[in-house]
Amino acid sequence: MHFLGFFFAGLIFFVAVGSLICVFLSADIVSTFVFEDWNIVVFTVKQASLSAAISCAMAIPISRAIVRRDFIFKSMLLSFLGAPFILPVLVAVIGFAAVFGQSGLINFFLSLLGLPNITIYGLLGIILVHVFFNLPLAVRFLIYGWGSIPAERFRLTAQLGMSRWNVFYCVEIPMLRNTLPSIFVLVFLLCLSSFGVALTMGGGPASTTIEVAIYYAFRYDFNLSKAAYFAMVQICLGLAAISISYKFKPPNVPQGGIDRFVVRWDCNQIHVRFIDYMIISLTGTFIFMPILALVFMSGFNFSSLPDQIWESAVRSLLMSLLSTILAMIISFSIAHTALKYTMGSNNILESIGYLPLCLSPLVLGTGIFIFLLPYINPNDHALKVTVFVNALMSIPFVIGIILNPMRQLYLDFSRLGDNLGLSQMGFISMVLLPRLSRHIGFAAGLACAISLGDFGIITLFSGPNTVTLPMAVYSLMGSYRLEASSSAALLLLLLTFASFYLFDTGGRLFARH
Amino acid sequence: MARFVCVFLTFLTFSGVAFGDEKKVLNVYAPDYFSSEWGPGPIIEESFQKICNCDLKFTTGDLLPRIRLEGKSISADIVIGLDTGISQVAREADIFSKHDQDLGVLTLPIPWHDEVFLPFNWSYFSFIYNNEKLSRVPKSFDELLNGHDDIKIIIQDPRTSVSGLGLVLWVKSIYKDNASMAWRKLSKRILTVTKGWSEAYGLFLQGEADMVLSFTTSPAYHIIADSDHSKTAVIFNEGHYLFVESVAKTKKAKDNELADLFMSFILSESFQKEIPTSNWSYPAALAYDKLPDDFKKLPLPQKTILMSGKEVSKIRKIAIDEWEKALRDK
Repeated sequence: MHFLGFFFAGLIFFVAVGSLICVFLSADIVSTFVFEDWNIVVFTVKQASLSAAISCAMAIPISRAIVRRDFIFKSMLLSFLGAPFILPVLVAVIGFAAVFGQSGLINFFLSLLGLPNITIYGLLGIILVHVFFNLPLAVRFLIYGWGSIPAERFRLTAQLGMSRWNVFYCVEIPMLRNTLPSIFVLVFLLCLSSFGVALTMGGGPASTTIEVAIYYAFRYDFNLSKAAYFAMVQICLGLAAISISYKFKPPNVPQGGIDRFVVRWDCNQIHVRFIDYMIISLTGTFIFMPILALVFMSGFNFSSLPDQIWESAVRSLLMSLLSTILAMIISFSIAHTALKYTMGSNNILESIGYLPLCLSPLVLGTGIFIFLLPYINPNDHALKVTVFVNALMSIPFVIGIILNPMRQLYLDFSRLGDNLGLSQMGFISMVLLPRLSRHIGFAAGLACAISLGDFGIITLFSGPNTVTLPMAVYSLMGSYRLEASSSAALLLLLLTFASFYLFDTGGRLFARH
Repeated sequence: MARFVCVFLTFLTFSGVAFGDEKKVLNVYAPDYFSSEWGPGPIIEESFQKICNCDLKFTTGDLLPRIRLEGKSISADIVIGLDTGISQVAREADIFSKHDQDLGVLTLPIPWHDEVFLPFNWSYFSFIYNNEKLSRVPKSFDELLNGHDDIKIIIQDPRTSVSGLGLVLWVKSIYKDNASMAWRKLSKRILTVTKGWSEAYGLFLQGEADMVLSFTTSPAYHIIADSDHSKTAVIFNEGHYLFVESVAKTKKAKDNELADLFMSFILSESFQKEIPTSNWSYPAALAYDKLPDDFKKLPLPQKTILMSGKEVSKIRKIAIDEWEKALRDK
């Protein structure tokens, strides 16, 4: 069983490094780094760290408010939190502009009140959109973190008469220290390779990110060595962020409870409730406004959509299911092996699991193209390559979601399992799977959504029969059809959301916790 | 929903079925927009297959990187959709052969003598505005730079988009050595720079900016498809930069009769008359009076600007650097 984990980790490493080498070897000019290039690196790191820091910081009070309150739409809100993440950038930007843009809602109200308008294009716009994409993700992750605190802890703090701040310090901070680093790294890595957002919201060349520079080097100068250099810098930055995050992580300790329902005696005062509900509604508004704007713009006009949209929708669905299965198998094997072979904090297998997020999609796609070219016609295999690459891109998320709780489960239950003489498979089927069920469902939903919403990796090799739904949405917009494009985007959103919802609630249904 | 299920079943049934009969195949590389049902791709495929008894196979994607990665071992017979901004780079890849077509039939606004690149459609770069909202429309580039500073425009990045590069070359042609200064003035008008035309135009349609960099033929779409007359292209005194899209035959297809047939098909009236309403641009070889009426009503610039491929490759980097510096210090 464990050789699978090593095999898959090796495969990821091979694809990552191999694609880089392929691109390097095809370069006919050797270029060096110049001062402006470092400016790009600095800006990239700056916007990524700011986006990640703000997303994480805001996620703390939001997830805490959601966890300790019970309201009618809670489970709906939880599912909807996945929605922004799965929107194609082009679509999200349009929806975002409808709310925050020059002629958007916010500015409309500001001018009603006689206040000056805000312009979001620039660093602010980039960060705002990144937060819109990633904050909900961070909140979902943190909610699991909060769920992992045994009810007994809160009972104990109540008995000891601890104040809210003391509870926060003694019980909640240790959990945050455990979960936040990996969330920060995920969001940081996502923003590190930001392309469409940076290019559209950035306002101009002052906001050039590494991925944009790669595209430029590749597309206009055809300077493959520079593209590869930049890609390498991106990998190094990513790996550095991953290893730094390990430094902040305390070692896990066993903390088993008896799965009692969590009651929070520390936060029943009316003003705490008020603040919590305030936070929840503000978050909801921030996340739903752009999506609502999109829904209204499309006018639900599905019947006028060209047939090709439906074809590509089916194609995208089938492909995303395949890549979800692939991603789940690979990530589960890697996570399982990673726990077996190092229980410490510095874990090579885990880092390899995060590696795909550090890759430049453009360099990865080009590398695969160059690798395949001598043997087969890459066009004939565009869909297979896409399924594989999408699976690859989902792995960091899946590992990010399941590894921590899995590690905790081993700590809490492996001694009991050994006592009872449970075999490895027995432990997996009787302890891991049922107790990880909600995480697995969330991870699968996210993986499915990522593959459904992805586009662009196969820009080098595709054809009329390989058009995916996101590509079709983009293409509709590219031919003036903004309305049809928003309808197709709404269809994409509905499909993505439906598959995410099915996996997510499915996982919660099967949970034995 | 019923439709969805139908398509699903059709897809499942036919996705695995390959073409049984051995027809000759013509491999055509094309930009992404050829892969969509609503673009020019299907029309070309259908009408060409009627006359050639062959199978026309489109491969779509980013043309330039693909051409350069494959180099001389390129599997395409034809490459369609090369624009004037990148044609010189494509030419230097040395993979194309002469098209051997009679250029006398061309109806471009300028003389065209290229032996390799055969044009099939053209338009002018311009800014599009909403004539119900914008009243003080600049009549020249100078007026745009020096006039009312409350006009906000959205442009595209010259490093990632054809139209963005077109604007940089347009400014460079008009202002020559003062291009830097012109960009510095223009940068105050720029709301944002987008990756491609689609994002920019989408943001404009949503009312984000007063004007967007596009083509003089863009209003035709709104007029013909939506009977919406509110979009107009500005016409500047200094002239407008020309946008020409070409098709070329690879060396591999030098003696391929199908490829030759395709090249002559490109200039045929049956194909050319499809261009206005599928590609929303002017056909390269169709008499003006055969254009759709709404196209005839579109304003045309007095002066056409176009740099030769050699000039473009000489000046491209300098011009983009000027653009970048001016906008960076904004």
